[in-house]
Amino acid sequence: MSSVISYRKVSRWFGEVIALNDINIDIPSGVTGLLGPNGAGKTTFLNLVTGRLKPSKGNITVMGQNPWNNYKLTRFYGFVPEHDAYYERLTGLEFLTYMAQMQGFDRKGAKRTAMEILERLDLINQQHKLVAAYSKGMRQRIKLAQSLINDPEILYLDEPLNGMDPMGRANTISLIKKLGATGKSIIVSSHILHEVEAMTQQIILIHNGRILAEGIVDEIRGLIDEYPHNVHIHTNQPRDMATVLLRHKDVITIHLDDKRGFLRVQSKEPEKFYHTLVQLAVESEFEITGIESPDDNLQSVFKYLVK
Amino acid sequence: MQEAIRKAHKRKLYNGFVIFRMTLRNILKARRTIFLALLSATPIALAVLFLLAKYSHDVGTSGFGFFASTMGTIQLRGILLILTVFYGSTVFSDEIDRKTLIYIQSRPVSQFVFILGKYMSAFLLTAVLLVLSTFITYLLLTLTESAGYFYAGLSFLAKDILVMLLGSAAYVAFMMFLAFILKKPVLWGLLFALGWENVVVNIPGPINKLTLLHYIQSIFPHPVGTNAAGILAALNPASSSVQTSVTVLIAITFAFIFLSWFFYRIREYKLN
Repeated sequence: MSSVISYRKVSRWFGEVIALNDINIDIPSGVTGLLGPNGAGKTTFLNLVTGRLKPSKGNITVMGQNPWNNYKLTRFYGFVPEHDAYYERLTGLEFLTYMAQMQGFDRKGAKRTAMEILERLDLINQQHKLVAAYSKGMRQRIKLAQSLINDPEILYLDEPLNGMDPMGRANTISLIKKLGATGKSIIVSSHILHEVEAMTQQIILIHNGRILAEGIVDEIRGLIDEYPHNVHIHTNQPRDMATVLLRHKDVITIHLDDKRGFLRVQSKEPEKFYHTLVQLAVESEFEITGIESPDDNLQSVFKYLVK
Repeated sequence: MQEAIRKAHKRKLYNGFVIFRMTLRNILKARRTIFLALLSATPIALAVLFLLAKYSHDVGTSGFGFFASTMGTIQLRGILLILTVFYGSTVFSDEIDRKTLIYIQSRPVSQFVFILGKYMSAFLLTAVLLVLSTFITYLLLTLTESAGYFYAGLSFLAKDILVMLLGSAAYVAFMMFLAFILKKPVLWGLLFALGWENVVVNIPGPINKLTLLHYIQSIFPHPVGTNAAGILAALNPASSSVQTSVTVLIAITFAFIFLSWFFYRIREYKLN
């Protein structure tokens, strides 16, 4: 497979802090998971490849071009930022229409394309709502929507599943897999192995600004299974949900925060547990408004790997 | 080949127009626009107060005289500056504060076109608010006297509007530039506008040429009344020629648009 993105001896530092250290990597087409705990250098990696930051040392090429300050290259990629950024005074449709117009669509074409993408990401009924009034999951989807507006050849997704509800996660994972299967190059950053694993077997393991390993998803899987997996669930009925979850064998402990509508669950079999959650969301009256997976367990694996 | 170049230019223009429209829409929906619209209506409110006072007792000055001094003090030295501080500096800093710049940076929009689109939206809004408020104030103060006053003062009004447009163009460019090099550009902008500009312009000697207000006043001097600022202004008459002043304001406008583009191009924006 030929590489679309290539890093050659790339380092980037901010003052005295080294964010990326001597990175050498070629990324082929298809879905690639960029896996690492918070602060590992994933976002810096993506900021460099999108040309927002300049390497302190080394060279990066994207489709044979230097991405730094190269706005013409943006025609070929889409980017989903990690942070919650949005034009709060625009509706979903307006936001996407403007983004499409900047990609060169005329007004009518831009609106049509925006509607198609909204439909595809199940946001069509929210098209006239201000983005500021969207739920966290909907805002994640509108961020994904804007990245797809130009049907890009490369997609950079920085923690795209953060804060999504189970259905949103399942749909987004399926969409990313489909896009990857069409030959697009997709880099998905995450600190959750099973999320990445659901999208691809091809991973880059990054920690403390260094690449520890590439394409070893099964080995990592084995290591991570030794540690309990933490999941934070936001729901309207935390107490009732805790009662139901305790019946499941894959759940080890549950910590309940009634006031904030919040559950902290530890599971030894995350995949099975997430499947249980999806089922609960579909079949029961519980409303799951968000799921987060802190990286404690992944941190443990990295500690083990760098020893 | 020529067709391709023409298409590329057309595309750039179109992108600039999209940035302009999106920014305008965002600003118009912002709460600060209501505050700034109210602020720009201050001369209208003063005109109404003046008329009420005039009809109840003799105020000793004509409506036109009141218009001229209001424009010279409140409009040119106050409202114009505050409007340009808020619109000029926030037009870019909002993108940074809300981290939305990332969406623009992920589009094939050239940096210069982006700057130009942003500049034009801030300038247009400032200009519309100033021109509307000036025109309504003029109507109120002259038409209530006689139609003759209205026609007689039209050239004064036209010059006033022209000076305001030139001044806004330069100030918006400068305030926008501040947002590219400083954090908290509104604060710095206000300090510059209400401090440096309003104080230094009154200092006798060549130092007042370091203010934009000096060139604005040189193009079209206004009677500024008998308050402290008025006395200082009388002691320190504007000395630059109209031609020089217009050239300086236009040059400053272009220079700061260019500098904004330069700094935007070389700076990294780490938005996370």
